[in-house]
Amino acid sequence: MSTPTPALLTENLTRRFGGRTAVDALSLQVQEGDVYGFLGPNGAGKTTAIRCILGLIARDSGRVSIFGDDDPVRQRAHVGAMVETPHFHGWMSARANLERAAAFAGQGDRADIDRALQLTGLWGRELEPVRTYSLGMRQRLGIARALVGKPRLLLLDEPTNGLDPRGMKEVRDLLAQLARDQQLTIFISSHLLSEIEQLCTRVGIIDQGRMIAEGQVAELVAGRASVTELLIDSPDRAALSAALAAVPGARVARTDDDGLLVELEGLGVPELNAALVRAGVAVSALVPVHRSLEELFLQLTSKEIT
Amino acid sequence: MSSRVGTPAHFFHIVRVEVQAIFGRASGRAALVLAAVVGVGACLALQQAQDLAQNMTTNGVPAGQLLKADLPSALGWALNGRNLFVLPLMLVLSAAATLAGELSDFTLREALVRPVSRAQVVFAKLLALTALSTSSLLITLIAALGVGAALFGASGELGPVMLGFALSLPSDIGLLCMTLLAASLVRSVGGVVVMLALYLLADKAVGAGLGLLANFGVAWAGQVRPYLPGTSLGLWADYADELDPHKALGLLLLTGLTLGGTLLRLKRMDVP
Repeated sequence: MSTPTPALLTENLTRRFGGRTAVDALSLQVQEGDVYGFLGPNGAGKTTAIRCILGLIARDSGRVSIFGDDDPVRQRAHVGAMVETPHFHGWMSARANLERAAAFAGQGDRADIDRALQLTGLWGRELEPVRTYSLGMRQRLGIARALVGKPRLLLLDEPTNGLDPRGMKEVRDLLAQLARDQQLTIFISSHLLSEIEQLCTRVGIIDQGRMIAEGQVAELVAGRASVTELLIDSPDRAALSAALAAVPGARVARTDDDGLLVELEGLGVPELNAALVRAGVAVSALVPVHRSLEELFLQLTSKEIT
Repeated sequence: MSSRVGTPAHFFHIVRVEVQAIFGRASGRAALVLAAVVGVGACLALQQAQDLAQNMTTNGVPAGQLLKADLPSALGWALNGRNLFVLPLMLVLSAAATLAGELSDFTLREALVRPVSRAQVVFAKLLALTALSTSSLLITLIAALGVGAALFGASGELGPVMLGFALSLPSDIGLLCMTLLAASLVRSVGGVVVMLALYLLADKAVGAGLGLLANFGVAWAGQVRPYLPGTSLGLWADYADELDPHKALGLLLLTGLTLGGTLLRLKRMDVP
């Protein structure tokens, strides 16, 4: 069975600025139909990587392939992109800006532009100069522009930047709708982890220019499939610790105010509970722990999220 | 919907939207308005000068005899007026805004994430700027022809001054290419204007020095002078005399080298 051609593939993508390596041998793979979250703390190299992918900045080494096309100009015919804050000719109307985008895209007609305006909720305001638009409207116009030219892959860098909670939800819903109804592959960079967790099927986490984790969101969050994490508490913490130490397959990973964080490997929760009862420990709490993407991210990057 | 990517139609559409952008900016609109003002104003100024000269003598000769007031002279005044400071400045501002301005306000980035090469974008911008230059020349010419014919009659040999108008186009293109190169280097509209002004001042000084050396019999100084950018850009001014092929070659070299420099610079540039 042949492997499907990835929508986006980078291999050992590297970019240095002087002595600093901003993107360090970055390899990632986005399959067609994926909604791929590209995560990393500020300064991790997300935007630099996206600029390298789009050819806005040169790469020192590595390869970029989009739908199997390695030609740096031709491959952009498949892509609609929004890099950081979108910028427009402010004195032009939104429609004129989109017509300009369609001309550069080499495809896209009036109907295509109308559709992008309708999808982003800008229909009816499209003849107003962009300089009169609010930040949220500009952000939506940026997405509309990325949609012009019927791209197969949307590359969006922090698309909800500067939006209020309602605007963020609207953009999130729009992207989910695009992925579902238009079968678009979406590559979205963000540091808003809840957003990525709600929207994306796969994620890649980079730090200091390197890919440190990549995979399905559920798999990454679950961590090692063979390990179960439990939060256990008892009025007698000392007795609890002693009893746990005597149970093979149970390991106290951390102690905090809420109890002991215990990792089980090759041992079921009922068996552990039975062992604690046999040891005479009064268990006041036994709660399975579900890690969030945020916790995973913090664990991997060991940095505060801004 | 069919894809035009990489076809001549794709490039044509890019030129079309560049024309819209360049003609729509304040500098583009000002260039067109000023072109009309110069055409009309030159004819009115010539008529005013003619009226003043009626009552004046120079070395006992009536000044009116020294001042030719006919349609070719009106067009000559319009051409000189057009190619003096203001119109070239408007063209420089338009060229600077379309490259340095778009680099600094990040709108060039939005174009370059599309399936176009940087060379295509530069050529599209140059063609659109050439359209602005051509339009401004035609507006000045038509305005001066209309007002001049009404004031002075439609007689006179128009060939040489028409050549002057025609030669203004390659001179403008040379200036536009110089501006694009400067724009790719300094990335700010104001910076481009200052850079070009300083360069042309230095060029004038070097030209004057070479002229002085030529007067003292230094042969190479006279040979080099027509190739200075500031001198070759004045190719249009030779319309009344014999055309200097060295100036024409100098202008060709200037255009080719600055355009090549712009392409090279942009190709290697990290676009913000």
